[in-house]
Amino acid sequence: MKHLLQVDNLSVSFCIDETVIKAVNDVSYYIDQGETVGIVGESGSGKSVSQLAVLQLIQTPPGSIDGGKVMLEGENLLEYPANGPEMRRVRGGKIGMVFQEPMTSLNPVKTIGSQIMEPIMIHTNLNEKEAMERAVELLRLVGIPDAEKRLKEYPHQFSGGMRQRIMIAIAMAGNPKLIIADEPTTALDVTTQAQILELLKSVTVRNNTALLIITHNLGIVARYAQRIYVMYAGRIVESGRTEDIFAHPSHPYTRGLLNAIPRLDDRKDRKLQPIDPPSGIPENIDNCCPFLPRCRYKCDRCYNEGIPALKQTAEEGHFSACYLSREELDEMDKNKEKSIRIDCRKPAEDNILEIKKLTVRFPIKRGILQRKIGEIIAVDNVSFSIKRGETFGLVGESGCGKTTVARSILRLITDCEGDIIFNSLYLNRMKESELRRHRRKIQMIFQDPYSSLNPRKSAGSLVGESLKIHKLVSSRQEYERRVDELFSLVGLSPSWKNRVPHEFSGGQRQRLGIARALSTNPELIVCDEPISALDVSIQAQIINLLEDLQQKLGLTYLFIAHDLSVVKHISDTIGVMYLGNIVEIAPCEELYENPMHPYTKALLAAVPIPDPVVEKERERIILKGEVVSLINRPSGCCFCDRCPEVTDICRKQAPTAKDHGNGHYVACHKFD
Amino acid sequence: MSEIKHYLTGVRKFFKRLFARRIVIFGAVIVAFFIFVALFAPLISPHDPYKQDLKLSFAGPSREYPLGNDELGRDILSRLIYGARTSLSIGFVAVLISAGCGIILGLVAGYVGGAVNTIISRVMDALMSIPPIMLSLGLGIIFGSGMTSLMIILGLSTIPTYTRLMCAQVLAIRNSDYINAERVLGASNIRIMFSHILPNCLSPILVLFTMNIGGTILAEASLSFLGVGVKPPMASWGAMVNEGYNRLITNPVFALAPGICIMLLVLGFNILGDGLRDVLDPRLRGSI
Repeated sequence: MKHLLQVDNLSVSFCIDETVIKAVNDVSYYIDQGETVGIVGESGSGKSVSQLAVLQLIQTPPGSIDGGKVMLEGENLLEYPANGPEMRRVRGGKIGMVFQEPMTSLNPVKTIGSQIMEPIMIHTNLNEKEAMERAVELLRLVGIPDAEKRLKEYPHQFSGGMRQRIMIAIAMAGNPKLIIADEPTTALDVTTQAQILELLKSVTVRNNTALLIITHNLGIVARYAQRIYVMYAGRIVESGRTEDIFAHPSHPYTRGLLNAIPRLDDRKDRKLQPIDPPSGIPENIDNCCPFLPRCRYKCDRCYNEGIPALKQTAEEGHFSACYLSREELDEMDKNKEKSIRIDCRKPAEDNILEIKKLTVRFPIKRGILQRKIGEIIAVDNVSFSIKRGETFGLVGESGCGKTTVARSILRLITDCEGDIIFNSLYLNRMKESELRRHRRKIQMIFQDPYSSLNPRKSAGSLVGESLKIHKLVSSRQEYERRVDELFSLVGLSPSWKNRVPHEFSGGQRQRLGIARALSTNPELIVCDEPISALDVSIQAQIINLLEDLQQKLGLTYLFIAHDLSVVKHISDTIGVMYLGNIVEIAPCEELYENPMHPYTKALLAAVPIPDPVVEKERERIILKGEVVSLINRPSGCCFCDRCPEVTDICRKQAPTAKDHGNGHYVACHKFD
Repeated sequence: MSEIKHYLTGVRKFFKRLFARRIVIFGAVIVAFFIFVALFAPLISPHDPYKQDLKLSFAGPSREYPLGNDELGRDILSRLIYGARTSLSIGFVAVLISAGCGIILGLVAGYVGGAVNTIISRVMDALMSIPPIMLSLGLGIIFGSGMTSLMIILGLSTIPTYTRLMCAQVLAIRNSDYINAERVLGASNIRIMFSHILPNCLSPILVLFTMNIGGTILAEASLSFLGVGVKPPMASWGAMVNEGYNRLITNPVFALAPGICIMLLVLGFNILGDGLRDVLDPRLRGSI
């Protein structure tokens, strides 16, 4: 049978500072007409590079395509010069591409109309008028209202989700046979992500276009892809039908990934099993299985017999590149530790932190005199309390004010109304000098481990800084001992003290950030999206570390994230935020089993679960519209213009939070 | 130990990248040559640059005096060699003064913000709007002529550039997460400013520093040419151009020799500064 696109033994390498890095190594895959295929892998696994190589979009030098064949409908694309007319005909004409970052992939100085019409006029014989009509048609297809008018607008007038829709329209413009979507929704919010993926799916089904989704999110492929390729370190390690891979993962890496990610339908006591960090690196690493240093199943054959080839497993078309069969892996799993978390915390009854009617306003200033012409209410009348020793999760999409709440608690934002009471101290009424003494009891872990560590300081001095500031140690020896202790506490070797941040990997940097936060012996740690910048297999390590530290040191966490599966895994109580308001607060299990607010329901439904069997039976609630800007906050209930169950009273009057028992608070008129 | 080792490999990599472009080597060699000449002027110069011999007034090049003698019979080559001292020391000190003041002002303006920032920025704007030569001449009248005042004058007139650059740098990183982290730890403002913000702002300042030395040497030459510069009999390239200018037709060496020295040294510093910028600016990394 002829495949639409068939890639054989593709290899790509980059030459950086005279070292050759093989980014893609002997990769083969295919995709058929109308099929949806997912390529899954972590950052640096070569999943994007292999697609760019197919389109010959790799910058040369430093990159070069070392070998292989890319057959598109019987033509070998690699025989054509990279910028020749044949390749230009393929790009946009036969293969459309949707990139990750909708904010930067559109040209900001051209109208979106001209950007959609450009590929139409290049790849078809339509004249300008017909191209315009086609552009309007495409915009309607991707669900942009008022298409004719909006053609004349510029990219900055559209939101992120809308821009991604426009990107899809551009990719569809040349009537391609295949669309390659490179992390199409990574930069978007959860509810928008669901919309965009549904749109991609429906558009490709309607035109019988093949769709190749590149992603690191196993949930997305479980929901949308028919077949999956799993990539690791530039090689395909497992491939097959989605159901087969999720039901019977046969490569240690795939198994590791599935064990490492928290799922929305997890039991509360599940302990995540992170993929081990590299250890026992063999000497002839180039001739071994690339996963060997991190593999927990490694045996003698892995060291001696070279790189394993893909071989078929029990199911038709399911391949895995491992010497061990699935049965052997299962057998070895039996002897491993049970994956159950033992919770021995005893949450106290007193509140460590109480937020009362917190409101944060940012003025909008214009003109030379910086006159105030309006204000944005970033956080609106938010109240909640955190018990000592528990984890309070705060979820919401970008712009909902969750980070602003965190920064107000830490007094990084000083202009706010309401009260922040920590250990019966009114933090918001303190002077800066007085506050500085109390600072050490509340610490923060930041989202981006790359920007939250001063690049010019050594790791040891970063962690030890507060010991000096607050004079927590009395001598040089005690200082060194305490720093060593903090390093070991977060699982870093104390011998790495003198390294600078860029010598650490992302996960290690985050550990440094945690060690820094722990250095002052805090009682409360605010974790602002602490794992969202990390790779999937690293996330589990950090979550486990946070959980262990909580048990060991009796910490209280305020855990802020947009990823509901993670929040569910780690939190005891959860608050859901939307547009600066908390719409629902409930104990974790209660919230997931019995969500009451329509927004919470939609948010939960939008999170894909990495299991195709469960996915098929789930109810899908696709919200209309996107998170509205804080400037155009609707009057009445903040959610009223997207709510599927909206009534007249919602538009007039803002609901207040009411107790529904079991500590379940909902702000919705439906339950009045 | 490993910190030092790391530092050394960093330095080695830095120079490797810096000299990846051949022309940067050229610039560095010129600058190093003049610094050498200035440092060892008494050992190198064949004659006393201040010794007058009216018999030799306007003598042409000879075996003993390779570039000839000036109006008062002083050896031009020796004066050139001593002139390198004047030019380089004025260049360095003046730039140190302006960088020092500019860095502090910019740091304060950027970190404190608000009214302080507005006042400092406006004063700097006002300073910048005065033509540089006018400013220097005006300051020259206040401070009088001479080497020290020349350094102060030249230093003061380039402060705004540093202030602006520093202020922009500080604004860019003062809200970054690692600064927030320090604040959360309870670090004082002074600690944050000098221990965390300052070291992260220095690379572009270093580039500007190198480039400004060239500019300052040029300005010193112009001021000396206009008569506000160093006092005679001290040798300075600018003053020598001034003296030789009247005899450009009959004795071109008088003006051309110091002129060429100025040109070479400024060119050297500019090339070096360019090279430094290419290495230190991460946005340009990889494009060369």
